[in-house]
Amino acid sequence: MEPDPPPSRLRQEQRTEQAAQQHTQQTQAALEFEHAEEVLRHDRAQHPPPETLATRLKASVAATPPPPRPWWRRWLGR
Amino acid sequence: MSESGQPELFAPDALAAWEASGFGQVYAAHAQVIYYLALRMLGDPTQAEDATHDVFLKAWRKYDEFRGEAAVRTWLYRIAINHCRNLLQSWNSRTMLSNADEAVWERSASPADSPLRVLETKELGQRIQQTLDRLPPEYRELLLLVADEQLSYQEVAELTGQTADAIRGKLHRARRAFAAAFAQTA
Repeated sequence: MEPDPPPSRLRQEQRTEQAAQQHTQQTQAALEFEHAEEVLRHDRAQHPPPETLATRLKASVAATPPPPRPWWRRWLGR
Repeated sequence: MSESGQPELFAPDALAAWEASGFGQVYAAHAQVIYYLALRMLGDPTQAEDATHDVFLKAWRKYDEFRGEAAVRTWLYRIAINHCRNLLQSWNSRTMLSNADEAVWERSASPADSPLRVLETKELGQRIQQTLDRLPPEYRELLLLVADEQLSYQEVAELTGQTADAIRGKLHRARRAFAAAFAQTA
């Protein structure tokens, strides 16, 4: 029969095992969704628009002539 | 040119108009949902970014004519859906399921009434894309719109050219189809 490991080694192994369990729980957290829409909402939160998009859009707006006033505003003199 | 001799990125008038018109706030409030719709309709982040850019640029050009008969978000959705549909049609490269396939989804054994359980992994997004790609376009658009909590069934109905009652019926079938297709991607 194998002798019991010394207390310090036992604690070390327990800590390693706990850390591994925590890691698994963190990386593979089980998610449960009632409907497809909830899956999509979760997915949407993981996919925000790129931060560069607003800058790019502003640059395009700057290069775009202002929209003409609609006829009804011209007619009303507004 | 600016005082420092560097070219200015934006024309001051355009930037002022962007801020004064409130369009910056419109972008901030709605960019995420429009980008996500484009991402999952087109299935490609780069194409989705381009599409979102084009949608908001179109909206900017027409912003002066927007008189608020509809909510801004609904108006943006309408532009985005049409834009993405046109892109998909012009690409003609993605596999679309026919109406005959739609019937197969409706008959399929479905875990729709049981919760969808998944492990949080990096592949979840890929599975969702694969699932949506397998659905008829009508179901895909319906689920993406209904996933937006700010849209009422009536607004979804108007965006898809149907009645609110029809939306409720189709939503049930779309959920079943999603659940069945999602299970197949595991």
